Amino acid sequence: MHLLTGEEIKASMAPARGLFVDPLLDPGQIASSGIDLRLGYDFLVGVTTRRPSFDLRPPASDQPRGIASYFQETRRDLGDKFVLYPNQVVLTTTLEYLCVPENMSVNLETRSSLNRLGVHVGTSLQPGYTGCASLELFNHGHTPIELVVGARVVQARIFRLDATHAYLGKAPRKYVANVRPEVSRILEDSELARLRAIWERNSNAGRDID
Amino acid sequence: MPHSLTDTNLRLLDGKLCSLCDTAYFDARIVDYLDALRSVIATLLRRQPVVPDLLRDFLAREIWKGVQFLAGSAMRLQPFEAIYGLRAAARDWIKEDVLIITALTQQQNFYFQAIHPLFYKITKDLLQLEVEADVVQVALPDVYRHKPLFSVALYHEFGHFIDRRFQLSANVELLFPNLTLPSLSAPPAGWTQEVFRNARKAHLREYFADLFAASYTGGAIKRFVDDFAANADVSTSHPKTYDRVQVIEALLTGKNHRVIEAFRHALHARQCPDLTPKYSRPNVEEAFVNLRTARLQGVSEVHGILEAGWEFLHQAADRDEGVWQHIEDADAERIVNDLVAKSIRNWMLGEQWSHAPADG
Repeated sequence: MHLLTGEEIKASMAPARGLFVDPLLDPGQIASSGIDLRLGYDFLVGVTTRRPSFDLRPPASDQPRGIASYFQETRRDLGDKFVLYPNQVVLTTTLEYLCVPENMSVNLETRSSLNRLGVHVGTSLQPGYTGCASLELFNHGHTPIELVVGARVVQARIFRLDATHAYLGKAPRKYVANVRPEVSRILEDSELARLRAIWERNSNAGRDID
Repeated sequence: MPHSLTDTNLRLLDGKLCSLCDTAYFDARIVDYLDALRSVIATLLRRQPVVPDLLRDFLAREIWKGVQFLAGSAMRLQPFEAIYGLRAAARDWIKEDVLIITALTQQQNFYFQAIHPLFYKITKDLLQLEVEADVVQVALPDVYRHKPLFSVALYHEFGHFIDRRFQLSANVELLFPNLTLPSLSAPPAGWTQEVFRNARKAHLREYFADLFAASYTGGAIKRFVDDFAANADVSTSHPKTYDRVQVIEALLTGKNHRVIEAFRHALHARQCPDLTPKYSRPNVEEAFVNLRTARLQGVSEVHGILEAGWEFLHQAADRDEGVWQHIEDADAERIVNDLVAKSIRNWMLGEQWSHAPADG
């Protein structure tokens, strides 16, 4: 695995199959060992609902309450502010639409300047990923922060791998070519049904003993 | 003074507008418009100068229409990409920048709602108040707010605004009183002459709105009308879908059609742009086939990507190679709409960025 330098990143960019970043508003976003990416304009803001929790083991007989109902959508324009309150979860994306070649992977980390304000984001993009990168913002500090849409927020560090890995085709993918934040689709995880069956069997066994 | 429901309504509407004033998301022109409406309300409630009750009721109703759209925009969920296309189209026709306010509706319906021209006249002449004149209020289904391909009907609705502003279909009525409209050569059974006359006017308005949309979005509006109003028969408000598609088709293929010729005369008489294609179709194939956004080369491609996107969407189900072989049909619609939306938005971002001074 090899970390790409700025020059190697430029050389890897190609419209059809290479590394793709759109829009790249300023070539200066490409740094010595990564690319600075900007805050997007669509947000899903976590809100309090009557349900006390995200239920990741919903009853099989009941239609689970969608995770989307715990978030409220709002949009902004370039240069607008977005206030991130302490202890608030906000889903957004990078301004840039990215395509990662099948022989590369990307790590995204908050720029140091934002880390120092209490905002920390860390995520990774798998080989072959396409779409705006999801950013899960959380303000760890005590003071609201007025973020600016289009400002540089994360740095992407791009690694070249020894082998290629197709993103689509082997297993179903939940997030393909997204251009706005998506709520978690964790309820589609296949092991949840199996774990539920185990829990039900254990519960029934306990009742037999009683 | 006895209770006046109009006064109560004005106070309620002012309360609503007051709460909307706190919406930090409105742009400055919407705030100015909102302030102007509040000034009209304040003047009407003061009853100085005196305005006849009939006119007060009329003004209150028009303000209510405006509030409906402003309230719908308060959450800032509007489709920026579609509005950008409409504003770009507006610049071809009107020198001043128009104010476009969108509302999201839960109905399966798009519509344009005009502020009545008399509203501006009365507020200016009787109340000595100037209210922003070029307000375009269009509504689209909430479920389409992230679907630019299905929002091409906004161009049709915007066509109604242009028609009304330049009195184009009214001019066609005057210039060609004997023009035979498709499927409307004589009153259908059960229609009175008055219903027939009003239907002719309505059909002319619809034909112009379709032609306007077709000159910006080409085959996209044809496909949408065909899908959205499939098999609709002639009614008092709309022509038969088949006839609408035929007229659009004639424009796109350069065939003669009496309805198009009539509007060309009216446009010429009003010194308006002709019904020539005002879009250029970008080649999205190479980008979309690799799930990439298309890099647009100009505003005409912002309009043209709608036709290109529809074309790509219709072929998506048959793609059985590359990444598309792994994409479900239901996902294909979402992905193509998103790629179109993001391609337009990226063009908008580049334009905003390049026009801003680097040092602020």
